Amino acid sequence: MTARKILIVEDDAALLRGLKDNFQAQGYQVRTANDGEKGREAFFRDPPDLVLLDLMLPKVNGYEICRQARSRRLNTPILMLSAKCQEDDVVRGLELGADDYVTKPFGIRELLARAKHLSQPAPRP
Amino acid sequence: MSAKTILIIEDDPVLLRGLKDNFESQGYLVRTAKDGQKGLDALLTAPPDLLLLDLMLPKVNGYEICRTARSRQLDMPIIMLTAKGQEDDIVRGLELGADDYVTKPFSIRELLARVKAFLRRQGPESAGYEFGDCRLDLTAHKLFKRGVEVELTSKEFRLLEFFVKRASRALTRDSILAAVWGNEVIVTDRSVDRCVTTLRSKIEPDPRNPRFIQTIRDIGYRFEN
Repeated sequence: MTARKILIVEDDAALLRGLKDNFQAQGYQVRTANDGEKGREAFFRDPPDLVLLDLMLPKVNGYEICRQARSRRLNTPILMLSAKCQEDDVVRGLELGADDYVTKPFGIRELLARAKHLSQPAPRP
Repeated sequence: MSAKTILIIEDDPVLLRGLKDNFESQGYLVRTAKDGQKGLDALLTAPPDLLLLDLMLPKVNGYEICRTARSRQLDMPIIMLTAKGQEDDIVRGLELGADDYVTKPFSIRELLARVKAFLRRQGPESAGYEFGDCRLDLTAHKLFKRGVEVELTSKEFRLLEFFVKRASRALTRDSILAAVWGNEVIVTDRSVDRCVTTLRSKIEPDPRNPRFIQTIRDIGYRFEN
């Protein structure tokens, strides 16, 4: 089976490295970006199978990237990662078009399990 | 567009009523069950568009319901609702086939938003399917062949709908029985085979060499378009 492609947009260098290592160990092809502008450019130029998207990013925030992706009809699954854990933040993310929202700190096994679901092709016709 | 159906399996009557009210107020059609066995029966009899599933249920637990649903190739989104919030519990739920896992206590607004996100991703159901000279119109509940309506029994229609929505996938007789016949008492694998035979006579150009409904030896069938 072809490796699933994942784009991780995260400005915390240590977290980004840890995520990259874990997803590569699971067989994903991983691309990374450490600010919102680079992340958006990488996302729109070559949409992956899944985007892990931090919200509080330099230059362009994650909400804005998500909003722009959906307005361009890019239906790539987006999993938001954020320390913003208030109900309003989660609801805002999901209503802007995110498919899942995981609050930091998170368990890497849970994140991998959620990402696996989202990066699979939608089961229904 | 028709309202999406949600099945809620939850044994806490207060929470169940609250969930039902909230989802109905958002325009969903809601069915409920308050123990695992009733929930499993409801799920297999008429699969909903999305399942909200408590884990700690009387009679049959939520993990088992999830495992059974997936083994019967029911592929609606399943959101587990539970007080078990350890990472091991969450990973177990997701690996058994749940699509999301929400720990109690949860925010109803967040749950509504998660459900909406799943159903948005799933997309609107197609109103019809075309294969060969045939068109299955799900809105009118009719099959047309070269523009002429073909009479189908309700079972034949449900079986054909089940097939076309799962084109190119191997479907076991058990999964077909569960989805099309549900809990009818006197049905066997032969019931599926008989219905397939009559359906082939109505849709296949050459029923003895079927092009659409193909037999997979010792397993069941696969619909190819």
